Amino acid sequence: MADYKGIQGFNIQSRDGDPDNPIVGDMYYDTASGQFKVVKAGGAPAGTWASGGSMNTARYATTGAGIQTAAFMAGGTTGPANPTANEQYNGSSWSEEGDINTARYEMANAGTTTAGLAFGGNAPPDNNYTESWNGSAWTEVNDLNTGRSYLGRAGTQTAALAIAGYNPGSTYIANTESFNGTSWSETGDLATATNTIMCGGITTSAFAAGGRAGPSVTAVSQTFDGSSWTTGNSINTARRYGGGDAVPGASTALIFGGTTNAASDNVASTEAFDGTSWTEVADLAAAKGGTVGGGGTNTSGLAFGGFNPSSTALATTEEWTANDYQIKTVTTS
Amino acid sequence: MAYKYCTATNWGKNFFTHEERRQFHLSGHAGEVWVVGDNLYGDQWINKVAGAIKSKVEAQAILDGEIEAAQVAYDALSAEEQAANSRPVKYNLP
Repeated sequence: MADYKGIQGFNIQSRDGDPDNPIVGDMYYDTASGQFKVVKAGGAPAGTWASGGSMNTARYATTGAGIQTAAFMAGGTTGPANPTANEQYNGSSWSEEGDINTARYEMANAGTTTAGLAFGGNAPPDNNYTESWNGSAWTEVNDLNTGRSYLGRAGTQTAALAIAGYNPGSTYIANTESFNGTSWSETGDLATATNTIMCGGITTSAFAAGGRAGPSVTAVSQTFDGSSWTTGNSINTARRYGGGDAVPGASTALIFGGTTNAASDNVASTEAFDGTSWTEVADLAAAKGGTVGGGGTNTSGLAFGGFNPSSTALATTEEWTANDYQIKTVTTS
Repeated sequence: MAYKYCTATNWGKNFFTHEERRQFHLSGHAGEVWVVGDNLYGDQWINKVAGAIKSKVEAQAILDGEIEAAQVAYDALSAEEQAANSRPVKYNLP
């Protein structure tokens, strides 16, 4: 019978704890836990949040978009004021870029730092504005059909979704609209009318999780296939006002932060979605809500802005870095 | 788990790193209060960020002051603005 060395060419290593950079396929003995372990592909991403550069204008109430090394946040509110500020992140610092035309808060951003979209949001008496960013300036384009704030988003500048939200006539909205680069059209409704929902993905594969669907926050999670929403497994911590990654489809999602009720109930919890179920992964360093800006993927994400438990706008950024592997303990039965 | 408490200003990139997050507990709170795992790595981080050590009571008082100020601000909002959010409430540091 072949032994491990006979197959791999070396003996099983003994390590004091898990390795910093595991390689899929490795097997080792963890002397700290007294267990044999193996590194497998897939599973919930094993990662951590580290601090990133701080924004120039602390704010919340806008979703942000982009990737970890090229993200943007347009609009939102500082609390006392609603700036038109648009800032871009390059992986280490934020820079001020061209302002949006209409200041508003509880709005959505989608796309990239060179081809962005800003839509919805509260700019009384209007809440249906859409602006398009070409890398140097914002231009007003066709409005949403159903004006809304406290909405979710997914997609790019030329293929975006406006998901759920709130307007004075509907506290909780199920309506979803799809943008084709020119105009918005209605598409499948959410199964549950919701506002302050956490979303991400693309127009043919998006997710929406949590939010407020009545007096209480919800743990409901739904995925969109390009035409209709399907309810799936719930998130572990019901919450609203958090952040969602921006780039991947519904099969690899990440949500973070948010609030279970009041601002002082902000959570630092992060959950990863594998296409079927949500798993709690490493927490943000600081709990934050108020619609946290989000970008990136579930292995290279970004959380920025939001407000802290005393409702103070934040300028801070956290960077999520994870490996797409899982360390499993070897058991016998 | 034992903790230490300090105040420190988050300067941005590398204020805390991925490696540090793996080495000790760290959670940030209003008033620039940080709860830090009580081990060698946590002590090194407090030193790195020039954290001002606080007792748990002192740290809780700073946080409470921030929440109280937020409550005052919330109470001054219009009914419509209050409807969108809930009134901040105090909570205990770990």
